[in-house]
Amino acid sequence: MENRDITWETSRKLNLSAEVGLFNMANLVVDLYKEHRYNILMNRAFTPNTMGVIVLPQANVGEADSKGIDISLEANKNFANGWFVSSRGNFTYAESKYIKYEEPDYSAFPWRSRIGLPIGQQFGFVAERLFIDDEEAYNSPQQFGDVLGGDIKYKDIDRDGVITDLDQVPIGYPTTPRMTYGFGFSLGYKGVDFSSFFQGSAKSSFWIDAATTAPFVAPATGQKNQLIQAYADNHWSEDNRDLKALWPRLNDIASTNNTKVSTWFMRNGAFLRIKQVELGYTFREALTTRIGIEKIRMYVNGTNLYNFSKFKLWDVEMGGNGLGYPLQQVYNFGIQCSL
Amino acid sequence: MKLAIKLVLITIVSISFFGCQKYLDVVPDNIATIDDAYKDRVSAQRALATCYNQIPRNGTRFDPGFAAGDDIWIHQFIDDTSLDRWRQYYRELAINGNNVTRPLYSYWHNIEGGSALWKAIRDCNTFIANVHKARDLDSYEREEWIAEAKTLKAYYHFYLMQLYGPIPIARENLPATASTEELMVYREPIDEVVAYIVQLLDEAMPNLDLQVNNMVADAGRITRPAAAAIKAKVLVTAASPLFNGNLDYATMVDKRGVALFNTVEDPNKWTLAAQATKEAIDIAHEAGIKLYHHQTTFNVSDETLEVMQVSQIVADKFNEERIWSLSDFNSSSTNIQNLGLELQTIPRLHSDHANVVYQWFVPTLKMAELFYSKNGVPIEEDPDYTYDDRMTLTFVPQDQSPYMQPGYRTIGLHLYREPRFYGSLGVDGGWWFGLGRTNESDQWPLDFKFKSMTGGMIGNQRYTTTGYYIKKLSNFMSGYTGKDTYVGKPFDFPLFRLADLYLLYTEALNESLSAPTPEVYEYIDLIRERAGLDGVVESWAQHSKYPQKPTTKEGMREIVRQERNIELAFEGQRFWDLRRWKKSIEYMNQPVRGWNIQGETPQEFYQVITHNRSQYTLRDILWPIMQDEILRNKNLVQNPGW
Repeated sequence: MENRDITWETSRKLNLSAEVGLFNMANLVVDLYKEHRYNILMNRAFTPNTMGVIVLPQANVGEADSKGIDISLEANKNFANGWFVSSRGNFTYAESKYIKYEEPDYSAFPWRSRIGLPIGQQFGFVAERLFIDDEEAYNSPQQFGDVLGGDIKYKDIDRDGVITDLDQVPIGYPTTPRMTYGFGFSLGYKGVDFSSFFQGSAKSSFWIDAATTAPFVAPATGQKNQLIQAYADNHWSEDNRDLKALWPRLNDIASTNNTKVSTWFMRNGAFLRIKQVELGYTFREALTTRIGIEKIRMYVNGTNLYNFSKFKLWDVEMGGNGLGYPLQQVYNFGIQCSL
Repeated sequence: MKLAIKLVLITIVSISFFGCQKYLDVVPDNIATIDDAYKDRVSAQRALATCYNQIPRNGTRFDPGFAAGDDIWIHQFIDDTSLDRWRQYYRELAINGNNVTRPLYSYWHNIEGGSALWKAIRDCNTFIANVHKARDLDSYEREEWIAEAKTLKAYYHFYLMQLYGPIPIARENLPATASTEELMVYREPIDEVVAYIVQLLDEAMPNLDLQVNNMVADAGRITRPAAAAIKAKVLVTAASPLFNGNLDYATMVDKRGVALFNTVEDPNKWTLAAQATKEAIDIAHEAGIKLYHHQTTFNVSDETLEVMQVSQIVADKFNEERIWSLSDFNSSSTNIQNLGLELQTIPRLHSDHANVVYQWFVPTLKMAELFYSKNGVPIEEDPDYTYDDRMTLTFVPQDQSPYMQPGYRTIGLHLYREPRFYGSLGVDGGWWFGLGRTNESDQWPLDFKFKSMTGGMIGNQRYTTTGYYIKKLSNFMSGYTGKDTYVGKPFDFPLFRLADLYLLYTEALNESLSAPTPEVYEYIDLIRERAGLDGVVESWAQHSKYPQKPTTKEGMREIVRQERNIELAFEGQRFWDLRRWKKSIEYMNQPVRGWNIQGETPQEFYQVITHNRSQYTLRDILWPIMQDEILRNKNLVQNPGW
């Protein structure tokens, strides 16, 4: 379906930048921006199927605002008594929202509208708890597929007696963090040096991928999944009807109900990671030149040493699928020689 | 330490405006336009082909008429999550029922098995509006092609109407510039939808050829008999209880205040239906279409020939009984993604077949009870048939050897039945002619008990779940040339065949009269004669507990309905017929029964097993319109219950 009026997306951007040198030792850079994008190409949401077009017509109708701040700071100082210190840090905060979004008339279902919400906002069901038993599942609003005791019970937002897409609401933060930061420092005294680097992010959500981590189920073409210890320890069963269990009813067929995006598997994606720490010692030149070596430095370092996060099942940076290959912790011990 | 403060402040204020520069604002050359699609005859023919490519594919898992009724049950193996989801629509519908979020078999939205019928209608409209641009297309051919497109457009509207009831009418295409209000079309009342479909077919019929002239290139194209048959079916459907004075939908009124269903039964609709059906039969006869009688070069008895004929009516490619059929959907592919129909229905009869066949579609026990006794009357009405002993074990007597294996231990239900019973169904203790065995005395002996190589349950996926197989949808000349190498004889699945019209005519004529006349019996008796049975009046007079049944309108209604269910069994008709007779709720809620396929002895095997299917209520008849569509178009009224 052609639309001859399609044109480029337009953007108006305001950047403010300041660079400040302080006390001959520090340098601070602050960037502020504000962007207004409009004429965003979008599918016309109003085209009903009865029009008979498979590829929905598109038009430049979207409008979005975003704003953010970038800060970076660096400082170096050598002290007369032999100490030296240097540090650096950066910080980014950005947020965005739709001003205009082509969507059906949601006036009767205001929670479905994306207008005013961040780009990348996730929609999902509100999980109340697990069903106590089959009886309760049968007598509740109809959900998805065969729902039995121990399956996730969703909230019927529009109270029409059925759980449908209209019962999805904005949940959590977008999956891309709004705030990311990193900082590190090095310090030394005589031959000893010590450095470290931290990184982190905040204001993001992620979802445990219930479809790919489901135990005993073979996703798509592969082998059947193993059972994650955490699920084994904390799941709903006939003998242990824990209505807040981590994992709902076990099943060897992927449950269409429990794998929907919902608050049940929503987790806080914020973390602070000790990315790298290094300790080194450089032998005095007077000692080393005697054996014909200009410099010898011994060091020990480690990466991914620790992660501060509310999520404990697996490394939070792996996202929803804990069965993937994890980030590795690495330790090195080494000697550097310069001839 | 002296503190020196140096402050350097660099402020960069950059306000940039990026806009639509004129030098970028150009339309590229060589963009295809609508005129290119109709620049000559070859291009126009290609455009006509696109009008055909969304025809709902009867005889496949994509057609609810074929796969969503009470005649066929579906193997649970397809629930295996290692297989792709697309094969599960029919089972999902049976187990969970339909839904509004992503409706199953959604022909309105082109999802979950359905094809894009609104797009197909748009393609037809585009074709009709533009085909004149092809300069080298002569006017005779052009008018014929337009007539084909109109017939298809009518058929697509009809198919949507069968599923959804009242639908919007797409007389012409809405342009891309149409306003939101124009896009928000209304559903039109049933009677107007029917009138429009009939109008299209009346316009098309005079310009259509009687026959396809070049069967190699053009098989499956619309002819005048096909258009006339569609018209007959439309008018019979409009006259039937579902759409004629149905009070179940009296509350369906749209936002304009227009009632979408008529609430007063109009008997004249049956008269119109009878006229149109007779006209369609006459046009078919004029085109040389006639009832198929199987001729064989094999030396077989008359009994075996009658049995063989049943499947050949369907599976003998492009035979003389076809009015309209789909030529390319029933491949002999052994690839699981595109498995031929035969391989979804026939049993494994030898270890050589074990890796080839899947029994996704198997008959329910209900279908085995449906067929007549050998005297051509329902088994419960035939005093000579020991109806009360039908579930009791017995031995096959010698005189039944053309149909069943003598001395085999089976139940009374499988004995003394009409030839169509043995030709339509693979039965425990029966025979299977063909698949490499074309000597009558050396047919495949069927044994469906546990662990039997000839059709019993072995392994976890390739066996019948009910204890029956569909014999009717395969050609006996298909076979195996060695282990795992299947050589099928693909055939065109009939959308309309002459027997269908004969039975529609019998039905419509009977309904339009106060009591049956000899003409009512004429066409149904032709079907019975071919099936090896006596006429209706004679059979009932001699063999039924209710000898007068064919003489009353109500009695004859029952008779023609059962005859139709038998003759057209497994051909994707029963689902639609039950709907239009308003019998779906009654029949779909009967338990899904089969035999205990895990039984090794006859005593164990012949225990009735009931399979779960979701409850069928009024809302399950008219299909749900997807919620999303209702949100987009506020003028659409949802079907009741959704």
